[in-house]
Amino acid sequence: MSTSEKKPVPIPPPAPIEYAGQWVAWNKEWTEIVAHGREFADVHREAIHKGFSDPIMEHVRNPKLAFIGFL
Amino acid sequence: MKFKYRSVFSREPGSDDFLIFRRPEIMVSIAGPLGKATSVGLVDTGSDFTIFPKRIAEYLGVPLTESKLTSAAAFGGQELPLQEGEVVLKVTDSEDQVEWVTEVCFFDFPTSESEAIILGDSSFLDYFIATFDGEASELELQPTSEMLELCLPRQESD
Repeated sequence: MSTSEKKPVPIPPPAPIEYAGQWVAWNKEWTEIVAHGREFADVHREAIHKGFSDPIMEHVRNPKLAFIGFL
Repeated sequence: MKFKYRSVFSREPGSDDFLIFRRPEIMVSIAGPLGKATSVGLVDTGSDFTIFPKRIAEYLGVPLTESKLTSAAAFGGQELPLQEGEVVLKVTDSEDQVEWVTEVCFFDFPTSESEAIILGDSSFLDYFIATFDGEASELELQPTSEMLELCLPRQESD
């Protein structure tokens, strides 16, 4: 590998099943869930309050239900 | 711009086991008068519209108007009343970004558990040449010439 070659971007892990149905806030490195809960606004505010200025929000679907589109 | 698909857990059909599926879900930033937020959204060629939960519009202070369509038919024929609001959207990969002002739809999901972000044709996919590579689990978005005209100048803080 040459020194100018880009390093592969690591694929972030899936959100843990325990957060199904919730919003989670990841840190920018996708290594830690820094806040979670039912309401987008509350989770986003909590993450910012903890020092994560632009958290990555993700809604975790229920993995027991197959996803076949937006209903 | 290239984006790796997002990994998610889903139950294997006919089993209690869970598998990891990959979906074309990417990070998108949405900004309104009161702030901005970055979230994961599903890039969905089957959706005519780009749809965010109404609670996000309220959080970001986005003024809403009733959609000219008043409702959209979803998979299964279910009617969804939609509202519209003007926002700034931004997508960023490791090297590049595009940011544009657009009208998106908002839906008042009955519960927070059912909320989703759908990046459909209007306001999103119409501005890109999209290539879905299922084997590599990678989505490539190439801005169209229309997008390049709409695109906001990049800020130094970006």
